[in-house]
Amino acid sequence: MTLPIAGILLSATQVPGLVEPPPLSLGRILSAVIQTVLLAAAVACGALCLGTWLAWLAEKSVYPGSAFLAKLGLLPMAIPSYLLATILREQFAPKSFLGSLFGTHGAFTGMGAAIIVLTLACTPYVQILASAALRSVPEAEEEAARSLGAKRWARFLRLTIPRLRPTWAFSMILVSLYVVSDFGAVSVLDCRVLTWELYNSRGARDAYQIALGILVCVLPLLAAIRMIQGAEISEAHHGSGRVSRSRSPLKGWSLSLVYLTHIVFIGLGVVVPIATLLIWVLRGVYYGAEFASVSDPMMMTAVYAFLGSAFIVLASIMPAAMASRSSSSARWIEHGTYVTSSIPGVLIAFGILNVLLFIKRNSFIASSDSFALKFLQDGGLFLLAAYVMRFLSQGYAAIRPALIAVDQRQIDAARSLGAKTATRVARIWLPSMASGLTAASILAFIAVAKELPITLMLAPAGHQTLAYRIFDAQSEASLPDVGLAGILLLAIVAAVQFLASRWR
Amino acid sequence: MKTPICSNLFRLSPVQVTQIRFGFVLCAALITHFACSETEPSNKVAEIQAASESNRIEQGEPLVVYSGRGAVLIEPLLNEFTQKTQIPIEVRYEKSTQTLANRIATEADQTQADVFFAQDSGWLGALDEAGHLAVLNDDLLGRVPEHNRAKNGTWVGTSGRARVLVYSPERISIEDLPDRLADLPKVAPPGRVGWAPGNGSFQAHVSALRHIWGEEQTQSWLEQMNALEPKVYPKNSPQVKGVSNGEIDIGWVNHYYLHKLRSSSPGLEAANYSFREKGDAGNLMMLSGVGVISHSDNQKAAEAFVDFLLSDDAQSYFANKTFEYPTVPGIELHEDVPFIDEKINRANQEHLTDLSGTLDVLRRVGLQ
Amino acid sequence: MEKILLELRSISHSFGGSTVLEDLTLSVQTGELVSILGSSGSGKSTLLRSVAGFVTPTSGSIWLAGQNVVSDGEERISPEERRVGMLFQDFALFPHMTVFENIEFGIRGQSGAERRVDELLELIGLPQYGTRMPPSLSGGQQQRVALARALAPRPTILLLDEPFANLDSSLRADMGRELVKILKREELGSLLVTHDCDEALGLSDRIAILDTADGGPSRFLQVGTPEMVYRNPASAEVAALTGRVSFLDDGSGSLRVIRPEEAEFSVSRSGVGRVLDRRYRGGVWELMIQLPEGKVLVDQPERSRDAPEIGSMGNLHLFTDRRVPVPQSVRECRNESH
Repeated sequence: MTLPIAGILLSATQVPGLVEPPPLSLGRILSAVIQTVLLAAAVACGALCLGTWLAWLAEKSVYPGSAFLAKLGLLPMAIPSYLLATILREQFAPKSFLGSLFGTHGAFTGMGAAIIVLTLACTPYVQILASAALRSVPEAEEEAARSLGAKRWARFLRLTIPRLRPTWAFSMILVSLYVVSDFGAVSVLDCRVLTWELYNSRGARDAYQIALGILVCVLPLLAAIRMIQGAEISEAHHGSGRVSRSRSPLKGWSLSLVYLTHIVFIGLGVVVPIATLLIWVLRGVYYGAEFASVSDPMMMTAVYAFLGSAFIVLASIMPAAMASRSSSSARWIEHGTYVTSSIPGVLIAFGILNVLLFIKRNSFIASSDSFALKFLQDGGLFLLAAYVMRFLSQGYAAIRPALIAVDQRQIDAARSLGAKTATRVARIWLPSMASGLTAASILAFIAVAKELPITLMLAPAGHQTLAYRIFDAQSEASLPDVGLAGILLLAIVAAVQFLASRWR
Repeated sequence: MKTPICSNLFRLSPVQVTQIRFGFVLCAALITHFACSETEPSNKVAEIQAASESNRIEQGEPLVVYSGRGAVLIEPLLNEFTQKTQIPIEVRYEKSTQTLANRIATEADQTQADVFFAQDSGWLGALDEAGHLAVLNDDLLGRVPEHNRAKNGTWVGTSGRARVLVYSPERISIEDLPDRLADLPKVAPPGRVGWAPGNGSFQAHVSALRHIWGEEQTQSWLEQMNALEPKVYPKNSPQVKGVSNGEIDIGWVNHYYLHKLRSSSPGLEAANYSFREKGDAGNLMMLSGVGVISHSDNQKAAEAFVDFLLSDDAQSYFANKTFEYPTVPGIELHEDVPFIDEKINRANQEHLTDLSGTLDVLRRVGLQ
Repeated sequence: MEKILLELRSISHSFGGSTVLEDLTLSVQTGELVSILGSSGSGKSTLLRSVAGFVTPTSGSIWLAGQNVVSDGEERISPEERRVGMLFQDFALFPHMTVFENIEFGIRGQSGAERRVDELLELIGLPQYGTRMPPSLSGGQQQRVALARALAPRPTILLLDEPFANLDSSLRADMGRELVKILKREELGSLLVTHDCDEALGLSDRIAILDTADGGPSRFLQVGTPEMVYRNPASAEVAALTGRVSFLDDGSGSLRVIRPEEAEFSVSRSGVGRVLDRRYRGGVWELMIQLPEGKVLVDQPERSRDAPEIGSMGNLHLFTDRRVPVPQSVRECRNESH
C-alpha cells in the first residue's frame, strides 16, 4: 500500500518532459472531483433501486421464467465496464440500432452515458447483496405480519425496507467505491472524472494533485465500509428459524412492468453486447477488414492472468496464515489487505509508474546494473506487483475461510499419530486448503484478465493483453477488432467460470 | 471489490484438484513456448534479402521501437520488416506520441528505445531539440524531398496526411462548407461539430496555425470554435464514425481515416473536404516520421528500419493500406485518395514542434 | 355466552401426491383452549397454518366466527383478513422494532392504539419495556411480547405453534400458567399445537390427538378432555402419546392399559413378578416389573415402603382393567408368527 503512495509523492518530483505542460488549474481538479461525486451518487441510487427491485422479484415473486431471468440478470457482471461502454456508445449513436430506436441526437458520451453504463454494471452486485438480505428474513416474521393484517405493500414498507437498510448502506458505499475506481467506462465515454483525468495528465508534474483527489474520495468510503461492517457484527440482526421461501404470483400490469425491466436490463446488459460483438466480427469478415492479430494478445492475457493469479495467491497465503493465528493482528492485516485492494487501479498504476520512473532517473541505480532493471520492467514484474496490490483482497477473501476451516484438532491428531511437519503440511494442510486456493486463483485469473488501467500504464513494451487491445481498437474506431478481442476475452472468462462451476 | 459472496462458490473435490494441477502444467508449457518464440529466430533463410547483408545484426538483440502509431495500423508492416531482415522487433505502443517522446526524454541515455516512430513529426522535432536523436545518413535523407524531412537531418517523414474536414453529405451541403478554415466557426452548426484536442495531429495543426495566423487569431479562432460546444473525441477515426452514425455533422481530422474505415464498412456515410482556397491553413500536410535515438547501441538495425520504411514496399503500404500520402516521390496513391497537391499548405514542419506554446493556448481556452 | 369461534369440517390436505391430513373435524369455543397433540411430522403445524391461511387445505372447510374462510381448496379470505393471532415457536418478533412498535404493528393507525399497547404491556407484566429492542429481552419476555402482539388486534382466535419449545424448562410451567390466565381473561378461543403431553394435559380444556394409526395420513385419533384422553384412551397410540404407559397382552384380543400410578408392587418370594430395573425419580421409584404377559412400569411412592431390590420377586396389584384394541401393527406381527 505504501508503494503506490510513495509513487504518488515521487511524481511531484517528476522531471518535466520535452514540453512542460502548463500547471493544472484548481478549477479543473475541482470540476473532476464534483463530477466524480455526482457520478458515484447517481449510480449508487440507480443501482440501489434497480438491484433491490430485481432482488425482490427474484426472492419474493413468481412468474413464468422468473428464476431464469434472475440468473440471466447477473451476467452483466461478467462484461468489463470498458467493453460494455464501447458497445453501448456505438449502439446508442443516433443512426445505430438503439440510437434510432430511442431517437438520440448526439453522441452517447459524458456524464449521462456513464451513469447508465455504470448503473447496468453495478446493479447485479446490489441484486446479490439485497437477495441475501431478503433471504435472511425468517418466514415466521413474514407470516406474523400477515396474520396481523399487513398486506404485501405494507409488509414491504415495514418489514423488508428496514431489514434492507444495512445492506443498502453497504451496497451504496460498495457501488460508490466501484464508480470512483472505475476507469474503463469513464474513459471510453469521456466522462471527465478523476480517474480519467489522472490518466490523461499522468505525465504532468502536478498530476499528483488529481491522485490525491482520488484518495480523498476513496478514503472516507473505506472508513465507512469498516464502520458498517463493525456495526453489523455487533447488531447481529439476523432472525432465526426457517428462511422465507414463500413467493407471491404476479399478475396484470405489475407483471408487464416486471418483464419490461427484465427486457431493458438483460437486453442492454447481455443480449445487445454479445450480439453487437458478433455483428462487428461478422461485418469485419464480410467486408474483408484486416484484423490485427489476436494470438499475441490472447497469449499475453493467458500468461499475465496465470502469473498474476499465482502471485496473488502466493501473496495472500502469508497474510491469511498470519491472520488465522492471532486475532488482534488479524484485524489489522485484514484491514491492510482490503484497503490496499480498494485503491483504484489507476492510482496503483500511477504510483508504481512513478516509482519505476524514479528508479530509472537515478542513474546510480540504473547505470550500475541496467540488465536487472530491464528484466524487472520487461519481465512485467512491476505490472505483476500492481496486479497483486489491486487484487490481493480477492485471493485473501477466498483463502482465509479455507485456512480457518483447517481443523486444529486434525493437526493435533496427526501429530499424536507421529506425523512430522512436512507430512502434516502435505497430507492435511494442503488438501484442506486446495479448494480455497483454487477458488482464489480462479477469481484472480478472471480479475487480471479483465483488468485495464494497470495493464495500460505498466505493460512492458509490446505486451498487449486483450483488454489493452479492446481499449486501443475502440479509440481507433476499429470495431471488428473490438468485436474479436471482446468475444475472446468473454470466452476466456466464461470458460474459466464454467470450469470452476463444473469442479464445484 | 470485496467478494465475500463468491468465496463459497468454489468447493472442489480432490479429483478436481488434480485436474487443476494439470491445467497449471499446461499453462507453464504455454509460457515456455511463448518465451522461446521471442528469442528463437525463424529459420526461413530464403527470405533474407541481399539488402540486409550490410546490416546484418547479431541475432537475439531485438530492435526496440517506441511507436506513437497504433498497433492496428502498423503491425503488419513491422512483421514484414522482421521477415525481410531477420531483425526481431519489440514495440512499445503508446496512445499518445507526446507521452512516448516525454518518456524517451526522461529515460535519456537509459532508454531502451532504438527508434522513435512518431505519429506527428512535431514530437520528433522536440526530441531532436533536447538532443536525443542521431543524424541520419545522407543516403536515407536523400530519398525524400526536403520538405519531408528535418533540416538538420535527424528525422525523415515516412508518410503524409492532409488535414481535412469530414462531413455528412446527407446533412451538410458541400456548398455550405467554408472556403477557408478561418471561416469554419461561422458556418458550422452548434453542437454538431467534433474535434480531438488531446490528439497529436490536432495539437500539431494548432501549432502550425499559431505560426500562420499568429497567436491572437489562433486563440480567438479556438474560442469561437469552442463556443459551438464541439464534441470532444479521443482521436480522429471516432469522428469519422461519429459523422457517419449521426453523432456529429462535421469533424476535423486527417484525410485517411475515412478511407480506412470505409474499407471495412462500405456503407459509411461521410466525405472528406479540403478547403477551396489554395494553400489554406486548413489544408495542412502533416508528416509521420521516424528518428533514431542517439543513445541507442543498435544504430545499424535502427537505420535498417528507417531504410525499410522508405522502401517502395513500405511506402506503397502507407499509400494503399493506411491511405496516406507517401513521402518518397513516385509512389502511386490509392485510387480513393484524391490528389490534392495544388491546395496543400506545406507548413514548415519545424513550426509544428512548438508544442509548449500550443498547450498553453489550449489550456487558456480550456481545452487541456 | 359461548359460541363457536373456529370450526374445521373434514379438512384433508395432500402434499405432492400423498395425503398428510385426512378428514379432520374440530371446533373451538369462546374461552376454550384446545390442544392438538401429535408426534413430530404428524402434520399438526400444517393444520395450524391452514387455519392462519398460509396453507390452503386440499378439501374440507374452515369457519372462523361463523365465516367460511376456506372451502375445498379455495381460499375465501386471505390470511391478512382472517383476524387470527399467531404465536410462533421462535416468537418471530421484528428485530428492528421496539417492543412497543412490535405490539402496535397490527393496530397501527387505529384510534386508541397507544392505550391498547400500554394495556397489553401491563397485562404481560412488562410495563417498562416499551422502548427496549427484542434481542435484548430474555426468552420468556420475548414470548410475552409476542403474545401481546398477537392479542393487540383482538383476534377471533389465537393460534399457538409449540409456544414453549424454545423456553428453558424452568420457565415453561410458569409461562403456561400465565398464558392460560391471560387467555381466559381476554375470553379468547385458542388452538395450541404441541408434541409435549405434559403441556397439553396441563393447559388444555380439550385435547385432540393427531397422529397416524397405520402409517397413513394423520387423523384425530381422539378428542376429549385431558382426563378423558389420559384415563380412557381410545387406542394404544393415544395412550402412548398422552403419557407413560404399559400394555399387557394376555391373548384376549385386546391390550390392558396400565398407567404407572395404577399399579402397586409388593415384595413376595412366591410372586410372579420380578424387578428388572429401578430408577429413582424424586418421591417415587419407577420400577420395571417383568410379568409372564409382559413388562409393566410402576411408580412406587417412596414413603410407603423400602424400594425393592433389582431381581427381587413380588406381586403386582393392578387398580384398573381398561383395555384398548390391539393396534394394527401388532396384529400383523402376530399373524406372521403364527
